[in-house]
Amino acid sequence: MLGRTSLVVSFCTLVGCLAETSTDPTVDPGTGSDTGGGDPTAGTGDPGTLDLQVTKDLFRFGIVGDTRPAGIDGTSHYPKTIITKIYADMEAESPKPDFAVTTGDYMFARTNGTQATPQMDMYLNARAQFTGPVYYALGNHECTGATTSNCGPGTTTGSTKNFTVFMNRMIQPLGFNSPYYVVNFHGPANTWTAKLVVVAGNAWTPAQATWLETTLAKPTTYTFVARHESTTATTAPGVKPSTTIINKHPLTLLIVGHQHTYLHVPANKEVIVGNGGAPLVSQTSYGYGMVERRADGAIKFTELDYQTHAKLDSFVVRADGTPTN
Amino acid sequence: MACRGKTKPPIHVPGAVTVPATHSEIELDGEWEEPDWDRTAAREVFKLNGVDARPFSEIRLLHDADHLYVTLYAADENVRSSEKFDLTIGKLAIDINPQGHLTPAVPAIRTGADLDGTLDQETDDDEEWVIELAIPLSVLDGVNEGALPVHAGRCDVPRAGGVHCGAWDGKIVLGAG
Repeated sequence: MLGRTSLVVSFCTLVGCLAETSTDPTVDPGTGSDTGGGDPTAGTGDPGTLDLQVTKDLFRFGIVGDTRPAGIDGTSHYPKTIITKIYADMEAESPKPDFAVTTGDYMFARTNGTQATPQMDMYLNARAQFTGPVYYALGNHECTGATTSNCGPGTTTGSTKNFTVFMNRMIQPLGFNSPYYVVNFHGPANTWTAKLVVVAGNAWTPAQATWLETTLAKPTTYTFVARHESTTATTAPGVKPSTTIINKHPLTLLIVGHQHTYLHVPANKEVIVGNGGAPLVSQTSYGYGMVERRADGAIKFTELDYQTHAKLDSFVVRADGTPTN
Repeated sequence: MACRGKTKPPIHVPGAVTVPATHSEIELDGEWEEPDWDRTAAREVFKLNGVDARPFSEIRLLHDADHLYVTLYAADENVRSSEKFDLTIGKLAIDINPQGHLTPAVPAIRTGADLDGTLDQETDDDEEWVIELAIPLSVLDGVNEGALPVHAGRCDVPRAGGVHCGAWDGKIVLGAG
């Protein structure tokens, strides 16, 4: 039986260093071993937890939305120019964000085809423009493509090729074995704490529900939840049940995508960032979001155009998600 | 002496889009699964005032010995049966709605449609709809004689209000088959 291991790795940015103080070990899926993580259906321990120490009060991260071609297996028209520029823009932000979080949909590929890997190659080549960590959310296109799809061990669809490519190329390099996980942040001298809770709405299981309830119950100053679909995309299997759980706990900001647009929905403490290159459904531009902790403790969000760097929108919320100036 | 085995050379018209030939069977289902749609087809993005229209739309074209294949893509957050593409190729002028219905009806034209979302459901969020058409070359007067003018357009009415249009206007010639 594997036990927990401790590993200290420092990610240094212009702002300071995020020191990784512990990481859950991986476990072979399906072995049933109680290692504190791995098989999301086992329900034993945290599927994935990362604890990071932020050495300066400025806490800043980027948000990147949906990036996929218009047509299935549309590799020749993958929006690589757009997503490459978005990640290059984030790298050039001053100060540079400590990390980025994505909202899902990195491909549009047949699950019985061959295009998931080349499209993932293009995405990750673009992502390489940004030297900080990136925490990825699972999109419906990483399952079967249908919003109603549900993938992963213990689900009726199981692990499609797209899901496997997502897990192998995006999740497992983070040290996780599950598409849902949490990253905890501790401010200087622990004066504030934050958690980034990544929910997999297209890999929904009772075990994830239990994990989400337990994870959100742990108090932190700030709680950011990332999930592919928004609150209104109720045909995704995990949206309604996760929303019910989320609504029972403190929330600073719900970060979602799926709709190929940018939209702020204050009533749901929600921001939709789905404009990372996928065909736009609205008048918004392609771009990305930036989240920043202000000196007064409020959280400022800014949406930026990827070409002009113009500010498309901004808003400020308190730690409890209520609006402020 | 009859010229046997000689095919008609492709027409070259400056500024015209050459429509590639496809040698695979196109299943009219709005899915674009045939590799030629991605790798070979002529592709044009709808514009408004010289920039990509928002919401996004595009047209792709292929042909074989008997048909011009046209596919139309619409990114759409709220798909309604009242929405349409308007398509003009030479003298042919039709509207096509998200269900693939043509107005006016042209029985010779076969269509297929795919919707990622729910039709006429205002309370949820849709993604896109795709139309595929197989237009017999016999319906397109002059298609083998020179470039045909094409107009493809679409106007979208988002939930936030307003009307947002985009279009592609060009000429097409059939490439070598």
